[in-house]
Amino acid sequence: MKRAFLLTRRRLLSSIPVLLIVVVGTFLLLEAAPGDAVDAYLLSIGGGDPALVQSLRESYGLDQSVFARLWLYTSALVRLDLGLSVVFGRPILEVILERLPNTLWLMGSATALSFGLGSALGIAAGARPGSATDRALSIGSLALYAVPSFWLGLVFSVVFAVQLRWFPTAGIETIASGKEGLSRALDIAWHLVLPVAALSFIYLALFLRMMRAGMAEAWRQDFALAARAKGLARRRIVHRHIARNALLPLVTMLGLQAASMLGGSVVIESVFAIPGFGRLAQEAVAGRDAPLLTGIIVVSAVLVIVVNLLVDIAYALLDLRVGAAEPSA
Amino acid sequence: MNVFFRLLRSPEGAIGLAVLCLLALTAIFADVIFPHDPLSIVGPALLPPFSDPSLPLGTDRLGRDVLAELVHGARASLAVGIAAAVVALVIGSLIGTLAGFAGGLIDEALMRVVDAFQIVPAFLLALAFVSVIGASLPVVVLAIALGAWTGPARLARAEVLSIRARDYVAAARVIGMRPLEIALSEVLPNALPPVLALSSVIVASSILIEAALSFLGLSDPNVVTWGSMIAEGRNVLRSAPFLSIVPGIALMITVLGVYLLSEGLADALSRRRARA
Repeated sequence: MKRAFLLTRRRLLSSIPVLLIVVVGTFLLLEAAPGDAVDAYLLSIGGGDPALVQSLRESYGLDQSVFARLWLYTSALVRLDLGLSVVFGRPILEVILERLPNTLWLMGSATALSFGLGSALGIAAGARPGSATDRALSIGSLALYAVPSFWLGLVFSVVFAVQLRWFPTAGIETIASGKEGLSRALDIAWHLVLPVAALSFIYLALFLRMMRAGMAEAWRQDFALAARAKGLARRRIVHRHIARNALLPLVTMLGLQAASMLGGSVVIESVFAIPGFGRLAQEAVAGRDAPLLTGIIVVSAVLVIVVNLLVDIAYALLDLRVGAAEPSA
Repeated sequence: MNVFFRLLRSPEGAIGLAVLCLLALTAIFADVIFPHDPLSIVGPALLPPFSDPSLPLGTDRLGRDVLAELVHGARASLAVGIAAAVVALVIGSLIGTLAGFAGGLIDEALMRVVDAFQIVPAFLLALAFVSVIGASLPVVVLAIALGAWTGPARLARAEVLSIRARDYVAAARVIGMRPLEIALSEVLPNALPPVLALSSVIVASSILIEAALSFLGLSDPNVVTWGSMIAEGRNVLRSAPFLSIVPGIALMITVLGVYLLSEGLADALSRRRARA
């Protein structure tokens, strides 16, 4: 447990400068956009006279220099204050935290499904490299890997929602259903089936291919030969020796693909009209809401750091060698 | 040349190469096959596929020829995919070489920047970039490259760190070459091959990101792309699903072709190494 704690502390310290680069970079990028928050606000209320513009610029702090505002933004960020959204007229953190759970459910379920099914199929393929099962699964996964997830989502909704009517076409739950507790959870799960499937298929292929490659590699190692020479049953070799050794890189991949899955959820949430974090990003773009977009990028970076930290801790618990050389001071 | 023949002999490589050659020819000769503007109206709206021999894939919501749009869309997809990969590889290998060669504080600072780009989802970054600068093909290329250069940068740096310690670099230093000259003419060319191996993955993901961006409406409205065709077809998804399904299949075949070619290439190269 001490190793995990030291690892956490070191990781958190080293992520501070990285996060600072993200904040400054995003701020300067959005600064380059034509127009500012006052323009966007005036557009939404239908215009105003120059005196109003002047007073709004002053109250937003937009009459100050870029660097003064960057300093203000960063120091407010330390107090977890991301500013006000132009589109929603509410604190950005509040809006984001409201939307985040839907996306976390979507991503969490997609990760669980792709990791579970992907590694299981990978074991089936890697149990006998070169066999018919292996060939079929390898080619199938390559084809799956090439499918654009948003298109897959549309196809799913045509087939399973419009034609077969098994699942709802859009939304996160039945509107105004008044459901509570377990029946509400089931309702949300029912709405999430298609988006989760569309989002997870590409990662399922990724985990399958990694597992298969890792197992093919492990078969060539001496310990596999030793296990066979001992006369162990093939099932036992596959599960206890080969698959186990191929599993660790998959855990690393779990953290690496977090950022890409968060990006993928933007399009999937737009296809299935799920009011989540990704759809919020699209709404911020559509509403030219620079403060909200900055907040979204900063929060997504924090999210990716947290996921990677969790993966690192899991890795340290699985592999005792990790972090053992950490200075204990 | 030997690698090329071995590539042709592996089924993956041969199929991938054939698919991509066909696509490249389609993209290059799009103006010859369909000389008129693919966005012009040529027939009645929502004509189903295979019903009119002069419009084999039917028409969309506005009566535009789907096949012509598809052929012209190949151009945008391939051009953006390849251009984004080239930009990402150039930026990545230059920064990676610089970091690995300079070492010390410069290395540390550059690698933190790489970290920063890696923890921001590439798609969100592209979305923000395109929405700020405005949607046109060069901006989309740059936006995609911004999220893709970190992989090549890390790999190039690792390669450079190992090459830097070799004897021929020491020899170059002894004969009085300047550090920048050594970095660009001795180290970079030798660090490049493993970095180039990443290119197929970057091309494939760039094509997919471009499609997703245009699906969300962030692409040049005057250029037909497969992503914008899917988005356009989505409006009539219930009555004419083929309008969204057909360009999606084209996207899938393209990306699959890139992956097959890279599998075949990796196979051919590793067999050469095994024999050597």
